[in-house]
Amino acid sequence: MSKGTILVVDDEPDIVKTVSMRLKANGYDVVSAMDGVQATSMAMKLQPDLIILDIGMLAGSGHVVVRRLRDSIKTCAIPIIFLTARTSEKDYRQAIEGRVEEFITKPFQPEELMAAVEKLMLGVQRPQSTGH
Amino acid sequence: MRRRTRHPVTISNGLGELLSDRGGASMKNQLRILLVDDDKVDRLAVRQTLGRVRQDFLIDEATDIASGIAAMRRSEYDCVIVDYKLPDGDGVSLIEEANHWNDSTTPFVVLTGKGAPDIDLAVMEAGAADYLEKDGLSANLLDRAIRYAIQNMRLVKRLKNANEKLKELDRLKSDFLSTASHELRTPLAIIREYIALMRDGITGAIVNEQKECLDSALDNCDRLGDLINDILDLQKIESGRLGISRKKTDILSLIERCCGDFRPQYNTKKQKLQLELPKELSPALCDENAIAQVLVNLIGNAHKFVPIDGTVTVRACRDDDVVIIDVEDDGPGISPQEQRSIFDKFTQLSRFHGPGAKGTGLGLAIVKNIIELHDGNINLRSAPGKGSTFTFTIPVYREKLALHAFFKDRMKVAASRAKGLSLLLLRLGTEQDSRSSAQDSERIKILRKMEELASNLFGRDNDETAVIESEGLVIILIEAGRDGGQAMVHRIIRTIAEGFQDMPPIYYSTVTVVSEIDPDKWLATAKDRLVRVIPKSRYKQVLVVDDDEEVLQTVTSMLESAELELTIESTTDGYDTCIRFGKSEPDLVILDIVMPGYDGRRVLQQIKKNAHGMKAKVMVISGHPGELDGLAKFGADDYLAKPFNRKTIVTKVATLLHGSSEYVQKETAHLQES
Repeated sequence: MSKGTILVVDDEPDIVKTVSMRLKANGYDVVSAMDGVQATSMAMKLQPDLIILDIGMLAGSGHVVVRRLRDSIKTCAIPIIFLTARTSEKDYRQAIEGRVEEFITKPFQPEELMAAVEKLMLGVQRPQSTGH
Repeated sequence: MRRRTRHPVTISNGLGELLSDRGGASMKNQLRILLVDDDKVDRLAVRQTLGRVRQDFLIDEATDIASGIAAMRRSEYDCVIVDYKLPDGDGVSLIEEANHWNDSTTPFVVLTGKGAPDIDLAVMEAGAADYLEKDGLSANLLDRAIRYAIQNMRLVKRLKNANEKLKELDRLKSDFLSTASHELRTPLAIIREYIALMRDGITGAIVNEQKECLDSALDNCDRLGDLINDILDLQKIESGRLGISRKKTDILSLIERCCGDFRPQYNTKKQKLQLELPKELSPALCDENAIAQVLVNLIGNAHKFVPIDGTVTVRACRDDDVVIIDVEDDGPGISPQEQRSIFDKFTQLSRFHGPGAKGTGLGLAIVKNIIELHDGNINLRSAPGKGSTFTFTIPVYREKLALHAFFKDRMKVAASRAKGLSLLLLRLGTEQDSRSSAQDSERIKILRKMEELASNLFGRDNDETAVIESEGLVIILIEAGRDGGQAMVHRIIRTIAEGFQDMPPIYYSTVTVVSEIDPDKWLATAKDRLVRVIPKSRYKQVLVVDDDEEVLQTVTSMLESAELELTIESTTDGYDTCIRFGKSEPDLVILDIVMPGYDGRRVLQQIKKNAHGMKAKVMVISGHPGELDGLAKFGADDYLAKPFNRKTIVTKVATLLHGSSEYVQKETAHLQES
């Protein structure tokens, strides 16, 4: 049994790498995307159990991804954590409007991120996935 | 003697008269002067007096403040000479109006009859360059006053420009710091996370010594992160862009919440965090998030400096019209020397009590800025060995104060962005209704709905608009973009016209300012100008008929952009037009004469046979006058010659729909003659 699959989205390869390493070390399966378009299509196709999403990406904003995912019956229930360098009130309010579950700013405390992940992945049980 | 042909043109605007003097001589290097005085004799006297020492001037005249301001809006003057006593106010009011609404950099010279000596200071305070008595006014004195006023204003302009450049530099600095700070976050996050991964053993087993080094590295990453946050905060506050928004706030629950968040940390250091709060406390007027930041800062600082087993006490109480909050600790105290610079940027206290995260030195600077934005005070009472108490005050909530704060907070943000503000005022019913039934729950419901409609239009994450309800009025402040915020104003009015019927009627007005102004004065001006919002159901119907699509589009957009409360339909088909008269009842038809198939003349005849058609007004469009022969007897009320401009068509349509005037009769007479 795996603990579930998490989709990590960020246009910074080092963020994707470090976050993935930590998630894998904690027993989760990880897939990743580098922009909004890729993120949306992967989410629709694979329906991950959780999405960790950056806002300010070069090709497509995290807010747009949220809107698309919330609009589709396939993906509207997937919990989302924003992991972003943005700290403005505006982004925070938009996140609330998009019903994003958690808003964590970079640089982040790994304990805080993992606590949020564990909370949102509670009860997820999946058969072991074939390697990605 | 030079020959001059004079063509005085009277332009009546219903409020006063503006008489324009256009000399036949070359206009270059002429001094353009506006003379505002209701006395014809005095105006002539000024003209003649000045004429004795120079010829190179042109004087436009106005007879009251309103027409004076209108003139200043239309043209640029080198100098404005204004009489102190005017029918609709005094010279000082005109100067103030010009400076508020026009951002005027025109020099003013005030003239007066035997005036009281103390007016001169008030006049200069308002911004006049000089003040002269009409009685025994010598030509040289007048000429000199004008020249000095102009020279003075040149210097003021230079200062203003230098000031603008400085503001621009400051903005660039702020932008740079914001961008840089923001850009630093991601690399910092990456560095921190690589270190954390190693420290947590995820990349492989590590020995204790490595763990300690990595822990120190992590601590410093956090320190850098805090510094970035603080720099951003301080930048926002100092540049005025933080934009606090002050509302009624329950201080007691705010304090309890902030302290609650700190309990875990205090417990770790076995410190006591006590609250001495009254059972009830009047609400305060403040920005909840900003004051929370203040509390977090002070309580957090106390936690850092107070030793293990120490005690920190938070108190709140009301004293007259302020709420006083203090954070007291029994820590080591602060020396008088350090007290002097403690609120300065990047100042930190020497640390007696061992390790722990070092601060950024900006916390108290941010705290001081926030309290100042709230019109409050903060100070420190402390002595080495005797602990420290930080005390700050914020105003108690009062509706009037809250209204002023609403205005001031918005004006500050707009000023920091070099924008003006448009005020949109909405009133439900007449002024008596407003006052007498202010508590009526039905009214309150409607007011809330209006507020909600407006808010929804500008989106909840729009930070250029704000709305407040006060004393039965809905007040909306909109940052003035290139169009002065008018596009948003019209959207809101149109939405309200669609969303509400006329019971009770809704009134609105809009006033734009470009510089700081007293909120009461601004509101009073807006209240003066309230006009009724016409519900959409009562809009006049206009039908535009022309075989050329482009003309249809042009006419439609010209009419839509004017505030005429119209619903506009259009068609290229003359036959279709006649059919429509059977179904709907246009109030006005704008009809092209030369059309293929059913041409305009035929359409006109057909329309007028119909009962609705007889009541409808018709304006014909034509490319040349020959086409207009005899149309008046077929029932045309007015004509529009191509090419036409927006002003012409809007004036004509307005006149046709909202009442006739001599102007229209003259024009139709012209129609009948040809």
